Amino acid sequence: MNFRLLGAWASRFSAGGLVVLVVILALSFVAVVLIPGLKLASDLASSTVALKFVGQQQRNPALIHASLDSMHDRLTNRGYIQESLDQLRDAATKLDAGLQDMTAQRSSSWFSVFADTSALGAPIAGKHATSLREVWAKEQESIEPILKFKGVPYQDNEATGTALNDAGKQLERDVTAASRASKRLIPLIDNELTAIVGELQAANARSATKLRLVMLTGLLIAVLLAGFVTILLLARQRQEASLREARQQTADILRTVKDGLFLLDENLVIGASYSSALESLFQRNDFAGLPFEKLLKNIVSEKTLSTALKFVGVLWSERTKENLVKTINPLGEVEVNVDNGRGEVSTRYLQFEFHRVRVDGKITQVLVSVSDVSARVDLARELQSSQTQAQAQVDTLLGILHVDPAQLASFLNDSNAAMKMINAVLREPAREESAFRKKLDTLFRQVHSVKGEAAALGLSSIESRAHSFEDDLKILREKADLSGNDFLPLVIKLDDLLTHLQSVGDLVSRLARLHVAATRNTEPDSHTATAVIEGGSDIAAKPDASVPSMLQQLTARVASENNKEASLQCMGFDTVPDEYRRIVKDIAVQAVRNSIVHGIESTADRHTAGKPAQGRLKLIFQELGIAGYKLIAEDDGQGLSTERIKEAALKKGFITPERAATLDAKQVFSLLFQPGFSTVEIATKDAGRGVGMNLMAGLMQQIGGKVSVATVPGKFTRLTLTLPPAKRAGNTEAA
Amino acid sequence: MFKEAEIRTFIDGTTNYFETSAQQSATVGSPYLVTDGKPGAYEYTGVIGITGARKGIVYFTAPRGMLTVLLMRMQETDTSDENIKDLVGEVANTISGNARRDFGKNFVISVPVVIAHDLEKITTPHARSFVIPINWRTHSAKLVVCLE
Repeated sequence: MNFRLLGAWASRFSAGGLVVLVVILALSFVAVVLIPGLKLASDLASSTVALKFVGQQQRNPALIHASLDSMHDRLTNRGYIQESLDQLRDAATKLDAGLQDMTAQRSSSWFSVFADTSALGAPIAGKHATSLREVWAKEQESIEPILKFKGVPYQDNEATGTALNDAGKQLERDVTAASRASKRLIPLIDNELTAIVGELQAANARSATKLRLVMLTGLLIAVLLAGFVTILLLARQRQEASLREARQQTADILRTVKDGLFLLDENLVIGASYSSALESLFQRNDFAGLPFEKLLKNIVSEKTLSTALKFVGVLWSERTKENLVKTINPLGEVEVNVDNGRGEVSTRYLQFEFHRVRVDGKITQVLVSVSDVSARVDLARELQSSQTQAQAQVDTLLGILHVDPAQLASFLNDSNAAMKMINAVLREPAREESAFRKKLDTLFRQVHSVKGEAAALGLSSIESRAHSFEDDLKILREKADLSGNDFLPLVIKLDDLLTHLQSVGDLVSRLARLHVAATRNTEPDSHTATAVIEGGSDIAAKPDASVPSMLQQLTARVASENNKEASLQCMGFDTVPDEYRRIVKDIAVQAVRNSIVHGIESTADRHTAGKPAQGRLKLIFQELGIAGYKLIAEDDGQGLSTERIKEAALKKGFITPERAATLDAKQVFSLLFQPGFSTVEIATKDAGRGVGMNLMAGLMQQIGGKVSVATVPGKFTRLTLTLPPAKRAGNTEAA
Repeated sequence: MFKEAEIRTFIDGTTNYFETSAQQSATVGSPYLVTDGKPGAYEYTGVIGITGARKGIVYFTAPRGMLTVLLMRMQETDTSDENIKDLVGEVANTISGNARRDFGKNFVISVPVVIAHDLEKITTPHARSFVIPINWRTHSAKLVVCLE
């Protein structure tokens, strides 16, 4: 059989149709084959039994006839007749009983199928019953007197020997009559019985033929049935194979797809099938039957969770448009954190998307796809941060563009050194309050010098940071009980300052590279300040010709900020040795600010005092040979007032009123160098912290220099700083 | 400033541990920066990883001597390596618990990991770290906060 063809043919039927066909065939098998077959078989069995029975009865008429003949002979010969008589009686009884059985009406029953004593060919025998009974009745009538005979038919006589007695004679007559009747009747009975046997055999043959036919039909139906069952099985097998293939494909897809896929039912419970990626995305594997709420719990905030659940709930409503709903998806970017057990937690961003699944137009499930969008999110964040950074860089760039590159490089160098110093001071172990307090002065001096120079260069972003650092320092200075905890804000600001300085530094070096490249292209032989900056930190070793111009700018700026007019004259700055470069610069910056803020009067006051509107500042650096160096800072301002200094000192608690009364001018001026002393009420960027002069004193102390003050009220103030000869690097201790 | 509050939380977590387990408070030295990516460590270090609003690590590192005394102070006579490791882990856990309480979901904090002796294993994810000296009795330990 061509199974392929059959299969193709079978495929026209639906599996259900085939099943119906098979059931119909099975039922028809029962109806057409089994029931008639059973009936035929039982008919066959009963007719066979009847045949056997009738066959047995067929002997009896012959026996009766033979017995009668035998009796007749014996009576004639005066033989012993009892035996023949018994035989006659037996045959007659049997035949009578047999005919009774054959001709009696019986109810046929299915249950009697197996009982071979019933249904003895009754329908067939019935037809012959009347004639059989009639013939047998006649025969019975003729043999009746014989059967009733009892006793002996002979009498013995001496003379005649054995002779028939009366009864014998009567018997002889009866036998003769019976024998005669038998000759006529027995063949009739025989004929009837033979006819019955013939009919029975014919019926038997018919039944057998019918049975064969039924069996053939059965065979045909069975073959058909087997065929259909085979087709059904084949179809099922094909169906299973394609199902298996489909399942395998689904499994392959779910195993390979990078997105997490799962289905949610109406109760928002996850279905049994989901993609393997889900396990790695969520670091769990108990998804089947897991409520969606539990999946999200501990991943998103309570608020997002409830919004998300409502959102998914809305998806089930037919009235809401899917595309519209998607725009309010609260799980567009969910942050998931996974602990790798090695002390690291990694963050991933997951995007949930929801799609309705419809079967026959009805929403049955919601397909959820979860994808890892970390790369995209990270990129977006990076982009944003680089944009912010770029913006900040532009701001910084604008802030530094006006500054001379050499000055800037020098400033950055100094500032970084100051930052290192600050950090080193912070790092010094401290447990006692005094140790903590001791740190403050150095920190003040360092940050103040950075602030001063930043201000001089107009680097407001750095200046304001340093100023804020100073603010914190001031709070600490006034705090009664200092501990390490109090220094935390400072360190954070230091961090911020460092970061900012670093970004300025990066920008400067980038600019320098750019500038150098441009210079090389246009002026190959030119060696301007930009070439100097290329060396980066080497700049410190070069003569600092740019300090005067920086100081000029500072003068102009501070003067304008204080609504004053001032000019600065610098001399001898090109002779400052490297060792004093920074100190001289710091002191000069401080001196310029002090002079303008505290010394130079307002334009109006100067006018009243008969001075030119523009205040004059002088900074002179002199080489004294073996005596070292001298730095003179002079202004034509209002001079120092011992009274005002004393007043401020009293107010700030530096001295007691009693002590104030005994102080001489020198002692009063020395108050100026105390940390935290200032005559200004409200601190500004330029003055008021009382750091500047202290910084100056600190620096001088550091190098073993001297400071002297000369002043004439209303006329001038002159600070003279004497610096010892410069020490060579490496022999600081020896000098 | 947000950063300050964060660091303070870590510091409080550490000092709280001494306060509650040893009934003897620890003091904080002046904090400083380490910019070369090597904040250093003592023999025993408990590290927690952090992600979320900020990313990086926080670790508490202490010398054996200090931890031994701390154990003894806690009526613990077993000063084996294992026990000391557990102790450091517990400090890290307290720091992490404190941070969880203060920052909630903004910070995701890993399970503490203890590193003993193997100092090379401790690397900070960024060059700059805040180092906060923790002084207790005569001993000194360090809390290192390295967050982006």
